Amino acid sequence: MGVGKTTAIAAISEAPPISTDVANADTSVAKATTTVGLDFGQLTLDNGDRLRIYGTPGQSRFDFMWQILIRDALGLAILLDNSRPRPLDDMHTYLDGFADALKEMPCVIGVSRCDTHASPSLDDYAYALQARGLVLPIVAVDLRRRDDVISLVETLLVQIEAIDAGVSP
Amino acid sequence: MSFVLGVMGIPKVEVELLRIIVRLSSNLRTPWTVSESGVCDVLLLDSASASETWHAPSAPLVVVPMVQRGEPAGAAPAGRSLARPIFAEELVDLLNEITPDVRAGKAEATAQSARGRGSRASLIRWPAQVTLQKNPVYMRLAAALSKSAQSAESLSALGRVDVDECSTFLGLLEQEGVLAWLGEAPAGDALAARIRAPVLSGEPAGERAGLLSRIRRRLGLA
Repeated sequence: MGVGKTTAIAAISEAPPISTDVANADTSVAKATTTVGLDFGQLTLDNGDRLRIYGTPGQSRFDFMWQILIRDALGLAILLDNSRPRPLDDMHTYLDGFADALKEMPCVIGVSRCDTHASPSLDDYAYALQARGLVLPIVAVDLRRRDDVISLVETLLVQIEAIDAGVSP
Repeated sequence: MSFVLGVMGIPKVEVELLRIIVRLSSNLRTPWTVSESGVCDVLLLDSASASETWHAPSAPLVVVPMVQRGEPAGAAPAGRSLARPIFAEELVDLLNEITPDVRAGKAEATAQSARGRGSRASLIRWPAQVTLQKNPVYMRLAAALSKSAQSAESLSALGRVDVDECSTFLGLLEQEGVLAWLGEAPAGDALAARIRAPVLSGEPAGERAGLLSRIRRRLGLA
């Protein structure tokens, strides 16, 4: 919670994202509201198709929603807050929750607040992923910056293109 | 084959002089160009400059300090240095002397890293940040390698990047020990299974390519 999912979607959505927020009851996190349903943003492409962007609640009690929203998705961005007490544990929680999807689906990990909290380093995340047999792009981001959010999307696009162009089974 | 003389911390007037000498000299055995940024084969630097920030290719980088005429070369390897003020004959002699070493270094790096530009490899770990920060395009190339086995040629097409830069990147990754080449993973290994590209569900690749192009245009990435 508080990593910046709503902010990230707002950075690229063509309209203000629809959020299902309620007052935050967790006094350990200093934010007024938190997402308990999902965030929804949209981009209309030049042929009229719409790219839908969903932000799921980060609390593990909402992991049932993760499976619903991930179905038929083009890709997945996992956003982590490096200022949290145990961000590597957070990553493992999401990797467990999306384990089936991650066998095929393009995924990028965006880590925020690296400028103020240098540990764990992005290389630490890479080693943790390797221990799980995963190789995922890991990018330091400021989710308030549109360019950083777009770079996450581009990383997903490159992966999709690589899958289409790479060696087939 | 031509080589690149990189310069760092050298005053502009001296850089222009270097350019004129390498362009006009008829005594250079191999063509050279002068570059103030990007990859280079030999780096000429003012002794006060730090060379670590230079984006060097995977081939060994020869560093030549500039010294005042009459002063010792100090720690320069094999005593190589270039004295100020610059004399054309000395620069030409230096470049001719260095050329065999540079050529040998490039050949060794190419043999190490290229394995043929058609050889395909995939990542076994996301590269270190120090590697990715050498070149802004490396993030894109690494993302491609994270999902399927690619060669320098296919990376070049995917990433819209010069194939030599892709070969250089693969060389850096191999030096870092984060690459697995196709055909080297033991049978039944989970890594081998992952190197085989996953198949995305949904529409065929051709339709998906059109969708991805439209997304890129919409986000200003085209």
